[in-house]
Amino acid sequence: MTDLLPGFRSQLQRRAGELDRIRSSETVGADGADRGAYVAAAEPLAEHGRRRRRWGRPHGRGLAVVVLVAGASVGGLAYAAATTLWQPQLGSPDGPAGAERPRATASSPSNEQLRSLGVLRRAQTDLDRNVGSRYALKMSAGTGERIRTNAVRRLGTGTGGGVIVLIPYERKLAMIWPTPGSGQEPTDEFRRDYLCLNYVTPYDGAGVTCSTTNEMLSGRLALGLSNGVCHVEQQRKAWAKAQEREDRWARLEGRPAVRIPCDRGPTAGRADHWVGLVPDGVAYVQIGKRVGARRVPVRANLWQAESPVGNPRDHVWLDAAGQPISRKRADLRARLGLPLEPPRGGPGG
Amino acid sequence: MTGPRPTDEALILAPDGDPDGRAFGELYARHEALIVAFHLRRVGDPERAADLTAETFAQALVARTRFVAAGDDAAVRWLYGIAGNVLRNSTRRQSVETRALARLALDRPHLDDDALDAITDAATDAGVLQALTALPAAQQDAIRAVVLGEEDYGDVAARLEVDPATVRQRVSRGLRSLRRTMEETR
Repeated sequence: MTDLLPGFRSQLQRRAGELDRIRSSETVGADGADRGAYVAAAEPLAEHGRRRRRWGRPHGRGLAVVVLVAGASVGGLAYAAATTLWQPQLGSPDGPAGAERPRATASSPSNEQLRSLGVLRRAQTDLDRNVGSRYALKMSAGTGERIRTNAVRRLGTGTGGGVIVLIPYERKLAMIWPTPGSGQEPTDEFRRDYLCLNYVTPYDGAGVTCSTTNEMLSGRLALGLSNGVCHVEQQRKAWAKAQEREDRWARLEGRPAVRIPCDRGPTAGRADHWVGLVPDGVAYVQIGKRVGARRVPVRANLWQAESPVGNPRDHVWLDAAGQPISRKRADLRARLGLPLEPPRGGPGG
Repeated sequence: MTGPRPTDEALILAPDGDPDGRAFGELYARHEALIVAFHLRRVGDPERAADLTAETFAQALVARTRFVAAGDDAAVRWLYGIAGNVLRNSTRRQSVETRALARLALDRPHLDDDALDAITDAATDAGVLQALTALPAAQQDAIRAVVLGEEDYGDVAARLEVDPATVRQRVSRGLRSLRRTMEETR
């Protein structure tokens, strides 16, 4: 039998065995009444997981890092680095990583990313550092991860009233899954040069998806969101709650959120608003391969589309003249002036 | 595991303590495709469906001791109840909830293109929906309304002008047939 989620069953099974050992030997009576303790017993496992993730524990924490060169040239590319490292709050002390939260790093995005994404080559503005970005950064949670805070970019505003933020990572923890059927265990690994696309709202929660540069170049860095139209009563209640908690944020943004996500009704759970990141040169994204399919414009490397958009891999990228852009890796790399493949062990993953 | 095939309820309650986790692993294997299909139908994105499925089973594992085997197919109803909650919470937060995954130090599935295609294929055309159409019409209607549409048993019963117990029975029998079909075709 082939698992649809490779490796997950073995992982889950292992945890089930560990939990039951804890339950039977330490915390829960024979009648199974002490359920709270049972769940709490899972915490050592979570801590074990966190310990596994610690990699290169930070030293000299709290020291301000200063970028010595403003407007540095990285591999011949202009990268308008800020003069000082932006150090907003990263992660939350209440999050799964606890005190071992991500840290800011002054390193620049990889050459591949700078060559591919004009939005990273421009200077960071106050708008990039505003409350929407800070909110997204608070929701990052990986232990030992390094965020290129000076390369954080606010890409735009979604129709759902949220803000779309690009967060580049110098290194980000990823689960590496073995080939299905190989019998090998999944492993934790830090991957370099990850790009995370965040959608944060002033009312509740956020969405995020991350990819390597190569995955972005293949169109995989796209995020589906649910902004279904709610029933009036639900909208009223949700908005009242949102006002109570996050009104300040909406005011800071200078505009009210116009739609509220809903969790009931006919559109519940449907991803009906999509955002995605594409490389330079892509002026339009055609939703689907059908001739005459609708097109959405690309602004600052970002496209947005209402209603379901199918598999992003089926999209067609068009240049400013409306001509299709080949997404074959070699063609695209040549177009962007990238080497055929990134150097082994180098950036771009 | 040897002997007669254990029920889903037995796999959750694991009277032998499930020291190696195989009972829960078996429960996962039996229901993985249906839960993936449940989520995929709503979110339309295989990656998100995979994340939601992983969180559903993680929450089920955490809540395992709270399970009460009451009534027909209690395990299935319990599992779908968790799946519905995970979906609703994730929709409200506009991100996949990973609370239980984090608590159990389980990692979200990392899927390559082949795995994504497999999910789409297995959970849609070639899998569940095809199997669903092979069921008697009454069971199909009941499953579409209660499981896929998240309607209340009472509402469905009123609409179909039958007793709620009849709707429960149709859902129960339909899901049992679906699961059998899925196991045979994989």
